[in-house]
Amino acid sequence: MIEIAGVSILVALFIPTLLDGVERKIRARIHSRIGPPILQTWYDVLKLFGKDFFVPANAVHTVMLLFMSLAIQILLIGYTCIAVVAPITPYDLVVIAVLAIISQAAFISIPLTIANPFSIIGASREIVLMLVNEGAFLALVGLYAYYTGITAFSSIGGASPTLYTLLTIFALYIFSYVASSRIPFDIAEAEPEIASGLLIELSGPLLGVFLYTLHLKRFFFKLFASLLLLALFIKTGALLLASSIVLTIVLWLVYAVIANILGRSRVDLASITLLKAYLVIIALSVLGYFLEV
Amino acid sequence: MVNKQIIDNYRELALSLGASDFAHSGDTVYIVVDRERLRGLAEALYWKKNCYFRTCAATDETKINGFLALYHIFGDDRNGLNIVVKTYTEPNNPVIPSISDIVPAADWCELEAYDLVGVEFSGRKLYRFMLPPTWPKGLYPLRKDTPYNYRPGLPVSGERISESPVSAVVPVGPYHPALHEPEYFELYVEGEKVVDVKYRGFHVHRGIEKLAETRMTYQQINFLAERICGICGFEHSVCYAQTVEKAAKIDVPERALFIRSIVLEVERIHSHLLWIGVAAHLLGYDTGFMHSWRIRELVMYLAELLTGSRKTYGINLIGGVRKDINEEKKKKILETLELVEKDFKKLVDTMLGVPELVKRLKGTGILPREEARKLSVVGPVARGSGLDRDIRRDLPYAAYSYAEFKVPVYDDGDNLSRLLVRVDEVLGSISIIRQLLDQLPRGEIMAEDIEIPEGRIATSSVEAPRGENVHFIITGRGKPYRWRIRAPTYQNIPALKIMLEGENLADAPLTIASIDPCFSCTDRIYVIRGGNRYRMILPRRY
Repeated sequence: MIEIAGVSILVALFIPTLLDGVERKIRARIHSRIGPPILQTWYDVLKLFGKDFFVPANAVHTVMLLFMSLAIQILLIGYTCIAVVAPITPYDLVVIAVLAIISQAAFISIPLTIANPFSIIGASREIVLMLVNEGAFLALVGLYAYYTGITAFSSIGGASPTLYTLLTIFALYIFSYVASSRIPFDIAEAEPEIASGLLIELSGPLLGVFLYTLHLKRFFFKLFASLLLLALFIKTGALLLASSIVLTIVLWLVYAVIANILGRSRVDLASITLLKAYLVIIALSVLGYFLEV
Repeated sequence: MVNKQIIDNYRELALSLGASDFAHSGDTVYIVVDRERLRGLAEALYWKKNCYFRTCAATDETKINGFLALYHIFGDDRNGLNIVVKTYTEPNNPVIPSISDIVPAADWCELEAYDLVGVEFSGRKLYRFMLPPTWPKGLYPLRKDTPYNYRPGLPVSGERISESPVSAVVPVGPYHPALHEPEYFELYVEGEKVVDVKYRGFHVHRGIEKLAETRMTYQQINFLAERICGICGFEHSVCYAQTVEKAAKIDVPERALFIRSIVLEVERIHSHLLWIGVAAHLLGYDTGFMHSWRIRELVMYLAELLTGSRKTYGINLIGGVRKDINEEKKKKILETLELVEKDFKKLVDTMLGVPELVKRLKGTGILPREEARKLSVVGPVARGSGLDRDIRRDLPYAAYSYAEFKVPVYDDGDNLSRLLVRVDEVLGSISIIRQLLDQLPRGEIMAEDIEIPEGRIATSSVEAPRGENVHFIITGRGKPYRWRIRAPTYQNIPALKIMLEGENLADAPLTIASIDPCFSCTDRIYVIRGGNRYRMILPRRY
């Protein structure tokens, strides 16, 4: 079982950056371009790691937060993969949710430590969006646990696919899309508006770490929602993990297409629209629970 | 032909307000007025006669009559007239009353006249505008006694970003992903709300006019004029050529006029497609960006087919053009235009169906009609704010009087209105090209006798994709005595302050881009610095 988890962890650490390359290829096809090779994002990241290690002025904390963020993200993926096939605590789901929030907080603190107006603007935009998105995440995970009684993947046998549970998981997919910082929610880096915002001062290995962490983050949140969805139908840990990874890969490609048919939103429009969407879905879900549909 | 009654009305108005001379030739009225009476006349023309302000041109005429002169150029577009108001001033006391409080659109050109010719304006604050802050006092580059190659040894100096105790300052430029040329906007923000804007331009002003007035021949300047802008250079070239042709009363063959109009419209289509792509990119919709530029590529092939070059065509000369259109080219153009039209309509339908794009375009970057009128903005910026003006229709030039087209006007004054104006204009241009190709007359493409007498004055405009280009010329021996260029961006940038104040910071790049700014047109680049010395790029003598 642990071997399966180990393989899954390795796949989950390698695949996201590869999927970014596939996403670039899909984007290029939609644009009527040929696009770069599928491995291009890996080439880019490796090339960045080979560059001089440059720390922006007065930004030692940035380096610390960046590596902390990467470590938590790897831990999160590792913990999740292991917890699915071999439960660690009776509250794995809670542990994962908390770790995810810590990882997000560390990630968004990075640009705040850099004295550049565009970086700060990017960070402040991300915080506004995060207040809505992360708040919804906690509420949705709480509702899922409440509806199904699942707090760890050891108890997945007890879950059944009801409409209100499915609504909650659907909202978690919205969360995963927003957390992936894709268009229309890439407002924190919005290159033509704020000169790449939170990325502006990062270069070389630091930028490489940032991008790799972002890819892992994108992968994890989709994987998490997929695990909860498939847990309603698949009761075997190893099969659940494998099928969730496959579903995550498929979803990555779907998200890539969605990002190409939309335009960038604005922080005020995005946060309000998102809040309204979450409130409607949560209200319907709660209503469905009480009406038992 | 301008109605005689209208000219008489202008004569009556000018003489009643103390004008010392009045003349009329073709589509231009010339008025000479004393300094003391300038403001009264300017007010009457701008607000009572409802004329637009095109530009002003300061001139060192000491070698002709011992004076400096200032020409204010107004436009009565409804009646198809240019009104040139001339005011003399003595070189030892070159003071002329400012009209910028009455005609806000005159603000920049007064500052330029102060910087480059040394005309001082009473009743307003004067400051360095085009020249570097360390430029020596009393040295005016466009005075005739300043050699073209004189370069004062300037200390290298920087300009600091302003500080504000109240608002955060966000620098946009001189290098910024949304600006493709070196200009600088300073946005003062509270949260993400822009509360004030400062603009510092002319980083690359190199004295293109001085170069033409001192070093080049009339025909060479066609190629220089084309290099004013990398996107709509042909408009400048046509504008220059037709201004000289007007001054010298040169009869240009009709076929050449048709070819000019066709190439001008090709240029408008590719310029608008370029802009639509950039706007989509700024809004994060890169799919629109890529497809707009893919369609534009077809138009670039057309430009190459017609002129031999994708850009900077070099086909224009005083008296006509250098490249003809044959039947084979005609067929190819019509086939390509059909493809462009089909793909463009599909692109626009898709783009306007993306909710984020419409939300961010609608109601942002608003320029109210009254402000647009006050600043005499031009092109899609004017038409997007409800001003129904288009030089192609109002003062027809080249072969536009042979084509039927609708001038698109939208009243909302927002970024969406400016986008829609450009969308309609692309389709309008396709229709114009088809009509002109259908009516293309036979005959020569170059005038036979070209003689340009000295001392003639003319002004002419061309509706470029960004708005009207204005060229003003006083002819000299073998070259212009004075050549003044006013690019559309020069007229539109002052409106950005109004458009940006109160806007969301996220919409600022789009709003800046919505005027389709061309800073090199505005700055008029030509001389470049290579290594440790300046190098002048002169076109081959024609």
